[in-house]
Amino acid sequence: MKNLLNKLQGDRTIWMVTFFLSLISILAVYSAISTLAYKAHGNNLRFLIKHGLMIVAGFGLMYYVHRVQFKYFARLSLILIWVAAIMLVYALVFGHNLNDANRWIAIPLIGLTFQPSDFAKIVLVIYVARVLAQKRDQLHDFRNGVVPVLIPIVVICGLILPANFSTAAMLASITFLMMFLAGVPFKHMSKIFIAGFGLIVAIIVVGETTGFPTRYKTWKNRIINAMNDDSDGNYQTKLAKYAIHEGGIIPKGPGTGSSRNFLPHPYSDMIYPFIIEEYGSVLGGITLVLLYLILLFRTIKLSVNNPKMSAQLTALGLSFMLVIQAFINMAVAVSLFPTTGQPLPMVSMGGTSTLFTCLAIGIILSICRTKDETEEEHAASDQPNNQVMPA
Amino acid sequence: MNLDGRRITIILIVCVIAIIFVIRLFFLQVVNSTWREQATALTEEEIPLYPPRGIIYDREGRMLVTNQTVYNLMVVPKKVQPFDTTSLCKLLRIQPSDITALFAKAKARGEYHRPQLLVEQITPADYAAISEQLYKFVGFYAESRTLRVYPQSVGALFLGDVGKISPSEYKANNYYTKLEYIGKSGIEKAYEEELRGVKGIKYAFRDNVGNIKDQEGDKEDKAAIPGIDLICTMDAELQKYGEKLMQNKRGCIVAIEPKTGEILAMVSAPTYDPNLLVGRVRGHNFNVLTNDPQKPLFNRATQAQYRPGSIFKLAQSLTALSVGAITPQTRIHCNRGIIGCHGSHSYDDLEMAIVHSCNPYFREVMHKVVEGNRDPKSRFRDARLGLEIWQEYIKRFGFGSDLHCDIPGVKTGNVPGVEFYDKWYGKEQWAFSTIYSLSIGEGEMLVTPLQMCNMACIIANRGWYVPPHTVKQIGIGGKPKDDFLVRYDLGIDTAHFTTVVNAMEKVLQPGGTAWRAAPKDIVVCGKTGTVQNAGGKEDHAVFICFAPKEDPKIAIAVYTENAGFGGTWSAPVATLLIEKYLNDSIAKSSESREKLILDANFLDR
Repeated sequence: MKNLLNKLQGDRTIWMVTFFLSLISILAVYSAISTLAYKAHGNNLRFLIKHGLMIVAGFGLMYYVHRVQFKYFARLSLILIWVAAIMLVYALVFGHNLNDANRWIAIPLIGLTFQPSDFAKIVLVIYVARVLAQKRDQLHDFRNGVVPVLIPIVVICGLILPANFSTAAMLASITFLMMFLAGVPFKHMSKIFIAGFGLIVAIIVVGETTGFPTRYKTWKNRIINAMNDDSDGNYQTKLAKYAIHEGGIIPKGPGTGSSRNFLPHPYSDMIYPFIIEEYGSVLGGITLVLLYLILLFRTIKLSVNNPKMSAQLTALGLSFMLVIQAFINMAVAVSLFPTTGQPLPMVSMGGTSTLFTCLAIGIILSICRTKDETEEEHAASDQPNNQVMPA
Repeated sequence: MNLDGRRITIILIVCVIAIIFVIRLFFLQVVNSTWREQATALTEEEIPLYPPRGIIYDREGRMLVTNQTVYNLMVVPKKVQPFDTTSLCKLLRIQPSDITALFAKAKARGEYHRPQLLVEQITPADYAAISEQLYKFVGFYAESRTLRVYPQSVGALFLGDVGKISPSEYKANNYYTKLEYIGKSGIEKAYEEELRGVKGIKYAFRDNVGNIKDQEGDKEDKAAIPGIDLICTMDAELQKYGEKLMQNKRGCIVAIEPKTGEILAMVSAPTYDPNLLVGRVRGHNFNVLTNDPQKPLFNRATQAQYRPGSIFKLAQSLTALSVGAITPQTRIHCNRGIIGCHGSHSYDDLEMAIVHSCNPYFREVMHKVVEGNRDPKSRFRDARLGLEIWQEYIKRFGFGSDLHCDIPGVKTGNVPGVEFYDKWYGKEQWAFSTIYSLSIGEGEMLVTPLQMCNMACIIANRGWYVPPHTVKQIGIGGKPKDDFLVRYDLGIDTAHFTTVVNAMEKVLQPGGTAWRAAPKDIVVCGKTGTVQNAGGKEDHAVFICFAPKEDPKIAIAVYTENAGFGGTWSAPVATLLIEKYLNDSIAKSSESREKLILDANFLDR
């Protein structure tokens, strides 16, 4: 055990945060799953073991990945971006249809399904980071500097969009943020912003007139419902609010959440209100927010010390991705945001998406590890030279 | 390019978002609670628990109305999964079209997700066969209900019936749901609140797929409280005998214990078995009874408003004695020029005028009451003043009122007064000569048989009555409603009653109009009446009486439509009932009378 801990590289804080998140996940899922397990003839250990195995596998993957040097990911992304694009097309055409959303691909033989968009998110972040780093001297030139960055973003997001609007929008925002961090001038940023806004308007116009894409109606309803608090369609969010209120500041305690009986998906999309019900808003709600913030701030702090700009941008992009995803999930639960299917990273029982989250954290750890080895030498004092070094 | 500046911006934005979350969390938990009810309404379900209805016993403790468990087959169309339609229809003995029609109706009303009633009131025997198959039909389930049963099969209108709540009843009352049952008439309606008990509530949660969960909620379940049992005033044996005597006749009987106002029997003929209006046959039988030309659902005892005929002469006598218009010794010529009469008499005093039911005598009696020379200039104005006094006295007998009784739907009858005739003829266009037919209980005077019997009670009590009522004890060993512990005193001198009672005694003695009906060994005081009908139809036979003369135990009014003389057709019914009630049996000497009544058939008249 001690050996293993010594072999553990990378930032201990991020490891701890990840560990706590998965601990919360196992406790909450075990409690929330009981109704689902009841329907599956009473064996709730089966679900717990399945989820536990996924987390163990995730940690294994994380451990393996965090020992790989970042440069290999950067190079791999050149190929994997094409793989991601092909998988997305495949999912759109042949994927499992759930509520008109072709999001899933079945992996042959092992009986698991995964969302290619989960995979594409990570690949795109790495790819964009790499291109941004390469073009960092030309970013003031829109055509030669910015457009090469935009092309993969538009293609990948465009492929995700028909089946999963929220993921596409989130991914576009994250890459937009990365461009901002990489130093794309404000005039170009505003152009991109206006273009993105125009795209949304176009989707609305096309959706209203032709009814295409098929999920347009769902998107519209969810947004309308989110704005209209009294709407009957707000079934999920009303129940989520009920659960949050039941939790209160002094909670009911683990294993007592009654909302699992009526809250849709208390073990995945709606796990946040369920955790609040069982652990209270302070112990459950705010702790979770803080854990994600620590992950983000720790990444921001440590990634600077990686000499490669592409690595820095990747770490920031991935941690933003996790945090934004978490915040969107929480925002849905507290009715600040329209209903979307974003799980709470590391916490929701999400099958293979847990593996992709672990992959992302593994990469973050790998990037931060580069500094970890030299941390003692540079001491705790602020380095005057926190600038990005040439790649 | 300063990357740190941009980093700080983003860190700040993230922090702001995090703070917004925290604020929102507290807002949801502490400040806002309106949505909480909405969420509760979505998931929490109140399942009503129906209590058994109170049981009704007669005054001797015989069970008159009790409950029987039946099952209603319900279906929630939205939950139904494909099933074997033919076998379900066979099982429930319905047509496939019944199911599709119900589903279509539910859809049209937007109640597709709510329970719908498919088959009503399945007997326990039938349900046993259904229940073992029911699991095959997802979305169908049975709900137990209780139904009324009438072991004695008597007193249908007295006891009343229970039926599905009507839209107007549903609107008027927030206790019920649309699928509940409510007392529709008689005791069932008047004592609905006591009999129904208190519904309980079971709070349950519905999960996201609509299954009911047993769940500890904030609210505690409430057990149903059974309805209160009632002891009614009816004597079931008397009621049964009354119904038997009235077979093949149209009319009614009201029997009251004078001292207490307790209604011992109330028969409206033709009658029907109350069990006909229970269960799945109710709808069909209700239609049959409604369309029956003899109107069995019409409670003649309380809703029929008849001209009282000669029995009204009793009230006239007491009124005239009270206002001092006559004395018992006043003699009047039987002048048959203005108004007809019968029998051989010519110059009776009050007592004999009652015994002979002398029409000219009572015409003159009322004449003396109404025209008192109070306004010497105009006999029209004089009549107005006189009629007001007369009306006030007549109303003291309870005529024109509902008698404060507890029977739903009682009619009040009519005591015509000044206002009535002013409207009819015009002001000062009428005098006593216009309205004299009132004097012998004809004309515009209308009374119900219940009021006639109440008058008999008043005379039996020599001046007072307790409002007639149908329930003796609310809860076994309980009291009646407070209204029925009150005496209404008429303010008429007891001495006046003595004259009238003596006369009524002679009515059942040789020479009286009902002497043939008199039973052996019991002193019955009565008065006959024969109400004329327009259009050549046979007269209505009327009789009121009480017995024994001293310390009366029972007062009876009998009204037989289109039968003929009151003394011939109604008096025997009353005296037989008295015998039955006081002696518990019919004497040999009365058997010929009993046979005569039982064999009589006036339905086709």
